[in-house]
Amino acid sequence: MSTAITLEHLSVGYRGRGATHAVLTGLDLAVEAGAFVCLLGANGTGKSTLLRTLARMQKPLAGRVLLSGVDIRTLPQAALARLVGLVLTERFDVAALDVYRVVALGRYAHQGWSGRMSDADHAAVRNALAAVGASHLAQRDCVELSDGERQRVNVARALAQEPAVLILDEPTAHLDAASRAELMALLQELARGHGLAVVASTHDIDLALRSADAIWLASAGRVLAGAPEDLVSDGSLGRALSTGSVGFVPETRSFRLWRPGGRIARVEGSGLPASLAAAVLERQGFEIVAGDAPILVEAGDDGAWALRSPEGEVSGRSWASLAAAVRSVARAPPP
Amino acid sequence: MSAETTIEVAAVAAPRRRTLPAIMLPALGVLFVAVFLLSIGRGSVAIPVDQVVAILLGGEGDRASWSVIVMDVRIPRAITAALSGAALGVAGLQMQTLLRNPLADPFVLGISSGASLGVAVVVLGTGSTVGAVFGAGLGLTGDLAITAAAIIGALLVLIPVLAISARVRNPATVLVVGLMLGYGIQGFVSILSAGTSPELLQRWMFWSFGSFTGVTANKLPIFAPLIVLGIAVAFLTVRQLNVLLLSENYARSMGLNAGRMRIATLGGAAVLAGTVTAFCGPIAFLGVAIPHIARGVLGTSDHRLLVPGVVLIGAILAIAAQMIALLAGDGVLPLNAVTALIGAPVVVAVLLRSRRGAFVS
Repeated sequence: MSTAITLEHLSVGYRGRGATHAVLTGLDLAVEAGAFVCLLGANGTGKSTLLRTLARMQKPLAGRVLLSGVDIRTLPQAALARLVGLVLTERFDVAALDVYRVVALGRYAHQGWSGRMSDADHAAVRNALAAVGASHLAQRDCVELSDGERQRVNVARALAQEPAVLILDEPTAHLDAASRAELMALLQELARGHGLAVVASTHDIDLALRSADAIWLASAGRVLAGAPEDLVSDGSLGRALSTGSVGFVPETRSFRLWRPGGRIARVEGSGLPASLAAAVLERQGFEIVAGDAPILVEAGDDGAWALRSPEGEVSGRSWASLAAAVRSVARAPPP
Repeated sequence: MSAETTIEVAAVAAPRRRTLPAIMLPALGVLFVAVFLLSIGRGSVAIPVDQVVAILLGGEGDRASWSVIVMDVRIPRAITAALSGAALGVAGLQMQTLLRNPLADPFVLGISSGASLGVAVVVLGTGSTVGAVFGAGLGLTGDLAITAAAIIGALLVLIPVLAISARVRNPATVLVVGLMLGYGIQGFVSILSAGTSPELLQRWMFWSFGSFTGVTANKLPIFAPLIVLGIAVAFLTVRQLNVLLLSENYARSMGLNAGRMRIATLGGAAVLAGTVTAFCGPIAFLGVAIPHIARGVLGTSDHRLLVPGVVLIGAILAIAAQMIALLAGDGVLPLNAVTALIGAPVVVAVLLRSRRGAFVS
């Protein structure tokens, strides 16, 4: 495996009049060919700035970026386009142009002066469409596509450049849940199956942790890099992504709301019924504990539940009724 | 938003396209030849089309005077109209793609006004004259000076308009800024014209109405090559225009040298708008309307088809506008009145079809 992207002492940010505003500094990172990296971080931590710098859309404040071992500052625009494909957050919308022609635009940097599409160009367009599973969309007009389809086409357009590196700025934004998962799986496949180095920023922590080979975590002017599990277990993800009212729970690798003065409850049972009962209690502001608690919910395998509290015992068969029972218990003054 | 899009798409998309452009371009070519021949027969002296064809093929007309009229007056007029329409359409298309603004064209964004200012500085400032409207004037040197001044004037407006478009994303705002620039320049021209002779002022007024009759046969050797050069820039950059369809950032990421492309396109558009304005006056609205009509007729945004389509439709529309202006008697109805009637509805339609600042043509 060769190194597709190398960041050497890179600082990114903006040059104002006289003063510079560094957003992320001291970055020494590398991405191997065939690796899928997700860039995480709260809004305003500099994710887009970093990606823009990698794609030479803005100059670094210090340090340099190497793509396939070449300093990007030395590359002509067309040579850069043959190394890196880019998917931006900008609206991707062309009226009266079919998908095939849009993807074929990606061949610009490979074509001669005449702009004639060679057999190799056509093959690259077809391969790109096939790689994103959009071959059947080739004749469709771009404005007819769903958001998920349009993003796939956008990725295909970048793939038609036959780059070594794919950089995507929040590619899953504005997509529905299924399309988000599909797109992340696609990016993983492009890295694994096609040997691309893929770097994507995203707010889909859960999907990122499940599909990325490495996480770049932008926080407080630095980027922490590591395997998803390492960043979870050493607590860096929790520290970087938690706020006063929202906490990252390493065990579930998801967020939950912190409720000040929350009460505790215990769940007995196993499998899906137990986890659903716990979800009902957490939604009502209870923290689930393993030890003794004034509230105890028994979740049976048949979906029946029983709730024991200082006020007595109630039972039922639907999760809505459990939620109602938990609410009435929660309203009762603590003993 | 998505529901709205779906409805719109269902109404217009599915059946046509694909085969349409392949048929439409030759059809437009045939229509152009027909309109061209037809227009040569029209004017204060009506000449039958078969006589026009006979004279064009090198024969003699039934009357000797017809030959002279056709060769010396009508053909230069028709060629001028065709080249002007093509030029304005191409400049409009280039600006619409480069600025990502469906309402852009040389007239609407004040580029023609900038060219007018250049003409005014030379004509009103030195008292020299241009075109048939301004009389023989300084001859070749005068024409060249006025054309150069018009192109420089066009550039002087085009550059700030481009800078403003980069900052202001809303096309309608850019449109208003362009209109205001135009008005401001008009005011400046009025100040310039104060104190000039009434006859010159009157000729200036006629020039500003727009006319294709100003380019006589001896002026075509200046006018035609400049227009052909400007249009050639568009033909040579269809691939670059196509990648710019997505956005300038995407175009760069796909390998476009955007700075070089912007200079080439600006230069080409300024030559086209400046030359047409110098010789024919500020022609209103054709530039904005022609690209939209071409997209509608050809059903594509692909510049490989759009540029030739715009050239043909521009030529056809300009000749047609010239013929309509003649209906009211020789040169009485200002050309700009006719082109405004064609172009203004297109601008309104584009504005009304825009959704939340996103324009689909």
